[in-house]
Amino acid sequence: MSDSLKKLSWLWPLAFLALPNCALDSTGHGTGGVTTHFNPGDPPFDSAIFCDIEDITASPHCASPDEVNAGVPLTQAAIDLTLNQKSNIGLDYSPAAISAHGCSPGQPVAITFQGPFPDGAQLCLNCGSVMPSPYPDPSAACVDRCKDLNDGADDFCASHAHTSTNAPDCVGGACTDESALTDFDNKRRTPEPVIWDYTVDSGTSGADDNTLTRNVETVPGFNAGASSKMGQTITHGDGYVEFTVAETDKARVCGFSTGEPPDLEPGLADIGFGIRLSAAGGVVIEEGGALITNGGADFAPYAPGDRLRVSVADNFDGTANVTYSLIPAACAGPACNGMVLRTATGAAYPLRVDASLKELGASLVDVRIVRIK
Amino acid sequence: MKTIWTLLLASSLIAAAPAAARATDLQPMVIQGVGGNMHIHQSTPFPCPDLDADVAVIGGRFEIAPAEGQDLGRGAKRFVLTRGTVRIHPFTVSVSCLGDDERRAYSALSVQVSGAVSFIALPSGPGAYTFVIPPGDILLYEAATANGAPETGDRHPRDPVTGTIDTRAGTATMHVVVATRIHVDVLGDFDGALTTDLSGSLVFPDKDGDGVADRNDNCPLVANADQSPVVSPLVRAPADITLHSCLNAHVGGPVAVDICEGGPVTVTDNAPFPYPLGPTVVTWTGEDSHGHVESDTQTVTVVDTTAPTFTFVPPDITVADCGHVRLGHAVAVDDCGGTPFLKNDAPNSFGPGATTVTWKAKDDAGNRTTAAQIITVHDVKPPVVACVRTRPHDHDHHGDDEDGPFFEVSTRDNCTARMRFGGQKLHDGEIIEITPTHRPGVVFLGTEGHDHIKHFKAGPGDAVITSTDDSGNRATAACPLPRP
Repeated sequence: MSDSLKKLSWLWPLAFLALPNCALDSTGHGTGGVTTHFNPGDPPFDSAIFCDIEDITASPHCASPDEVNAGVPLTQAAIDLTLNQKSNIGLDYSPAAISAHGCSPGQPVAITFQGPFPDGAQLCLNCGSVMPSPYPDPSAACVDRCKDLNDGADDFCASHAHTSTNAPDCVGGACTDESALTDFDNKRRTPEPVIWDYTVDSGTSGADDNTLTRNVETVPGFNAGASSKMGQTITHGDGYVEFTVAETDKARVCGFSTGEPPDLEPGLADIGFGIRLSAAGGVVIEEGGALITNGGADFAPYAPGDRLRVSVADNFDGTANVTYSLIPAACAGPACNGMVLRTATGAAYPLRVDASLKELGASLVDVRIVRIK
Repeated sequence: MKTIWTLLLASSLIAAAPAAARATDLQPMVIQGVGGNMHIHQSTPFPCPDLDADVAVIGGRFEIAPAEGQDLGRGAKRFVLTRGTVRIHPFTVSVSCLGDDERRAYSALSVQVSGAVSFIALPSGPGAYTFVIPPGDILLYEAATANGAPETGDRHPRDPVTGTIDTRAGTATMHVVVATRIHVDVLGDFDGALTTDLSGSLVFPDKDGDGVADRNDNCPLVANADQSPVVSPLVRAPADITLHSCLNAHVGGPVAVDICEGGPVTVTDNAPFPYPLGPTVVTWTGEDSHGHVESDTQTVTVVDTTAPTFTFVPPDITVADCGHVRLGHAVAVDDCGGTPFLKNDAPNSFGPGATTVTWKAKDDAGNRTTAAQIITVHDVKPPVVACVRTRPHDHDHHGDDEDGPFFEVSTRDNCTARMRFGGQKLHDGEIIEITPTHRPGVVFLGTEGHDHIKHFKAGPGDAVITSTDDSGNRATAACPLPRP
């Protein structure tokens, strides 16, 4: 099929182009006639890319209260992916954006997307036939799709269309028969298993190999542990690390430390913001080598199956606010936020997952991280 | 003392925290099981027959967020159609006209909503809404395989897209018309249309994945497919604890979570203050925003190992003379109540310089504490000294003028004072003999008699007794000597 015929599409000419003196009215009576830049390649279009494409007809502006209510903060994109929260409005709370648009302090800038945010517009294509040529990467395909949606806005599309949060690659099996599937294995919805590295006197296990357990005790104390692998850090935006409780009689700490791995220190000194589970069944906090208690007591008791979460929220100055929470075992799924134990400030990006284990058998089960990659 | 806490979701406490910080849950509802019909109509120039055909819609799915819409007042709601896909049954179109034949086989055809579309739905009945989306607001994307080749493109509908949402019946419908037109030289334009009527069933968010939609779920965050009651709020008292002071109120924090909806929970406890000695059962009670109340207990045991504390220690005192000093009264209290026993180690009389008085307090459990008070005697008062004529009492002296005269010397001072005369130390009340002489000065001649009376010779005006206290204050007294 010729390129020109591809662009005409829409079942037209159907069969009529065969008629003598017959031509397709590709202008579509003022309601269509959109030129197709996006090239999905040759069928089958069984893979997909996800694009954030801004709406050129709705310039970024100070968000109205309704938009604030219905929008998704840009920094929360990764978290909202896990919660299946979506909107066509993204909210930019950065001081730079607020200032640039003259918004009131705290009033975010609304960015209208031509697709759901943070999911992104799901485009079905045959990645194998269009990458690396004509598209060197999925973002280039997003730019072409933007051109389809915003005719003549090539410059705009070059800077306002790109792959969506945590979707840098083609996703195989996300489409079938040219239809976008929603029940494919969408890994963006699931918190990412922590990949432990730099383990000292500890080992990994579990279906995702993300459970960390102390398996050697040569010297008693917080001298075993591990950190997330190089590159598995939070560099900006909101996110969290979370683990599940198995035992209640062993002490261990898990949280964030500043700096890219490697982390060769298995102790407590370098754990900037960590939840410490005591061998007596209580939750306390470790911050920079200092033990933080609730007036000398525990912040809360913990039980098997509970999840403990250390969350960070971007301050747009290279640091994040920290929230420690406990999610009871009975409340399942990512929508459970649980109970705040403590808040803190000053966590400097990048943040790696860091853990220290005391007694033999002390474990952190199913440790997962949510982050904007 | 009753303590009231309000425990909120993690995310509601900090500005940039996720999910609960926003008022609206933005999870979408899904229209699934989409079916329907696409009618193809294309008018053609005479004598060719118009094309009319019906093709089945064999599937599709739409997402509309937020599931419950944004209230706009008067029952109207704003939704965003975030995604939409419709799959058309494979079909073939054949045209035979004026001796020409054409056949196109669509082996796959889907139509997607190109971009998110915001629309307003107006109420049409209980839980039911109608909506109209202007054609310019919605762009449709076709992806097809026709005669084995890909065919893609975008187009706006010809007419407003209309539809219904019935949340009670759990159904939705949509009517979409896309225009077509062909142009034939000389004969002009010939219009056509693709008219699609869709229907599907609504699926609302089900956060706990138990098969019961959140809007109908008695506990949306806890999987309970049978809708058996869930104990919420979950209240877990702090672990039992032993305190070492009745005044220690740090007994740990509870877990109190609305595990069904993640709403705020108000927690109260009936902890006394101060705690009594021994065990106390504290009840922690949590109440969610719907008035559901749950509680749990904690045993707080006080074993008093905390010493009493002084609330007042008399100030340090400086006096100008030795002797008894009125110290004042110290006050001590104990964390577990009662009056601590108090005592101090002050002497009856304070000498010159600084003396530390130690106050001691002891509670009923035998815990002790101490405090210090410093008494300083800064002696500026000279001694009093006297030298008066007297007679000796022993049998070695008969009181005649061959001996003596005799004098009794004495000195008084609240601090210790010492007398000296002629290089000799004298004690208070001592009797001495001084023989007047013309030669100046004082000479100690030795002791005499059974009483070892010190005997001196003194020149005119030299019979002066000196008394000096420990602080160096000095006083003198002249002994009244007769002329030699």
